[in-house]
Amino acid sequence: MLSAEIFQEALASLWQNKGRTFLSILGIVIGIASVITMMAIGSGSQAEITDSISSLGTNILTVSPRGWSGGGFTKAELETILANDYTGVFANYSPEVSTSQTLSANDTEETISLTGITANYFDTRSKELQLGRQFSESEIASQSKVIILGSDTAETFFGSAQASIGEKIKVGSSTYEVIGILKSSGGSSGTSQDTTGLIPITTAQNQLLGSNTYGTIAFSLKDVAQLEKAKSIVGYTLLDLHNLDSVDDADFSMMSATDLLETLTSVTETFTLLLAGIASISLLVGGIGIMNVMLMSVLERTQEIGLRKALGAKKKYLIMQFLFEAVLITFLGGLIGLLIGLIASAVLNNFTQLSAVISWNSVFLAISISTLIGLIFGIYPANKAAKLQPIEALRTE
Amino acid sequence: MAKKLKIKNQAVIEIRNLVKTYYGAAGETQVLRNINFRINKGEFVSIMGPSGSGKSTLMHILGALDVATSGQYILDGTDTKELSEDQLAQIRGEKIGFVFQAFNLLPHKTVLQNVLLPAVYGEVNPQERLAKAKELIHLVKLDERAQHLASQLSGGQQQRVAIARALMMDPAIILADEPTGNLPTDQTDEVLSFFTKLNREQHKTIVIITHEPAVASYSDRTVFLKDGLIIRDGPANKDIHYAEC
Repeated sequence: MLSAEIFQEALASLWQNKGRTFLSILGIVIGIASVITMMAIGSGSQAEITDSISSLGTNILTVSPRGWSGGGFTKAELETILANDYTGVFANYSPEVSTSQTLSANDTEETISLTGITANYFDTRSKELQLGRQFSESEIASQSKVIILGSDTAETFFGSAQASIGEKIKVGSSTYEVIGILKSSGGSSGTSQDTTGLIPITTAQNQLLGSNTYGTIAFSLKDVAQLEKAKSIVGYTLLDLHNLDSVDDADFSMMSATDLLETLTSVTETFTLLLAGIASISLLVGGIGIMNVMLMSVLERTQEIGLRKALGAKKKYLIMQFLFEAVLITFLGGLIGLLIGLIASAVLNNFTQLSAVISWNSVFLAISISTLIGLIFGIYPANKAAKLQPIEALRTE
Repeated sequence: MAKKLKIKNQAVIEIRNLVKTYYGAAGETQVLRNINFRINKGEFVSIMGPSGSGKSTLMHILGALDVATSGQYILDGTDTKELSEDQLAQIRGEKIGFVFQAFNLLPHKTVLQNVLLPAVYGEVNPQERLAKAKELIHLVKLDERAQHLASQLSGGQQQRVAIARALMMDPAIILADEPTGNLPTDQTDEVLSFFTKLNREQHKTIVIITHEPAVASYSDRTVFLKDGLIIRDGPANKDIHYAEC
């Protein structure tokens, strides 16, 4: 009952000193608003990165030669790897080569990365066409000059996906026929997977690269949980075939979206923490501001404190009153800061390239941290008030 | 709370061999030197003395705002010596009704809120204390001002609010420190007569600290203080000259 009354007293006292209350709130408002916004930017970029990596397929393990000197993998090596998969970890596999080529059609010219694929590609990588057809077995066997374009690439050269089918496009000096268009992967980031072209692997090997090795082999897994097992099958088979003793000597590297995701997540988490940390400094400064204002308030109200003591107020009541005041200020500041942070994040989302995602965590954190700051920085002034000797306090006139 | 002591003749205040020494940069100063007196229930006493006589210090000790260096102060049966700060606060709230020279009301609060304050700290239940506060505001004839802010009242009215506040917890003594010091002459009599009325009709024990013989003359007994010693303790008498103290 008494604490409710002391709470009212604190509220009334803040209201009486509106100007001072407003000034002391400012620091916390700015602090919380910047923490919220920074964390939102951090989470936003993390979500974006996660999105674009997940679109690569999280259940895929790819193996590539390390460095540019490695010639690639042979068909025999691939077959040995598959033969070593006794328990059936792999769902499918897709040997691929890639090469950067200049494409031209309709007076448009663009250099893009072409991938030579087998019929397994679509199933292994979970890719789909929006229009046209895949390569036939005979087209792959006969090194046909047919091409499937990414949706952005189709648009660049022919205006739309529909208009591209059946058209001719030049790869270097040879002419290819467009037979299909990939479904857009929907990624919003700059490194779009929709700017690409697919051709039969044999065509790429023999007509563009002059080598019949594979640049990359992608394995799709039946279960992502088997990733480590899949890595050891691929890794040890290749080490053995290349007569290498230790993983450190490996002349190839394995990569999965899951690994990449982990690495990047830890990077963005650090980044988010760093941003939040920088913003917290302003919170700290805000807290010190609150302490100063409260100390000033204790000084200003020495007489009032003395009177309250003379009328029977025990120490704890005075501590409570000043703590309530400090916590009310910071709690209110936290709420206003949160609101500003939400608005700032919305503005960033809608008017800039940055994406900002507000999490419940950061909302909860903002409110509890601001309240905590009130408690921590309110204790000293509150104690000072409670320790004032009533005669000293009454004497000030 | 310290144990209740048996005091004969219903003494409200009992002071024995009381000494107060201040330790400052200039060495120690004995402000009160072996003071002895008692005040019985229902007495109206004034404490007089020139500035520097130690009467403010005595008032602080009587009000449990400060403690003696040595000697005993028994307030309404409670020895104040062994009390903690919070126990002293409780004693002040329950047994002493302060009236200050500067009124010391909370200016942004209403008359009613000011009068209620001691009961809030005394944790009296809300209905009971509201009834009591209204009764007291009626007693000091401020019914129509109950919802006014303290800062909107005249000095005399403010001091009446302070008196109502002092009566809120039914204290053992009313301790008034120069209660008319900040009032114009025409309001002085109004306030002092009110103390007399409280003493005569409600048998309240009242202690007024003052340096004005005219104020002291309202009381029944005057204690003179000079250089930390009681030099006279007897019936109040208008004929006693100020120069004597």
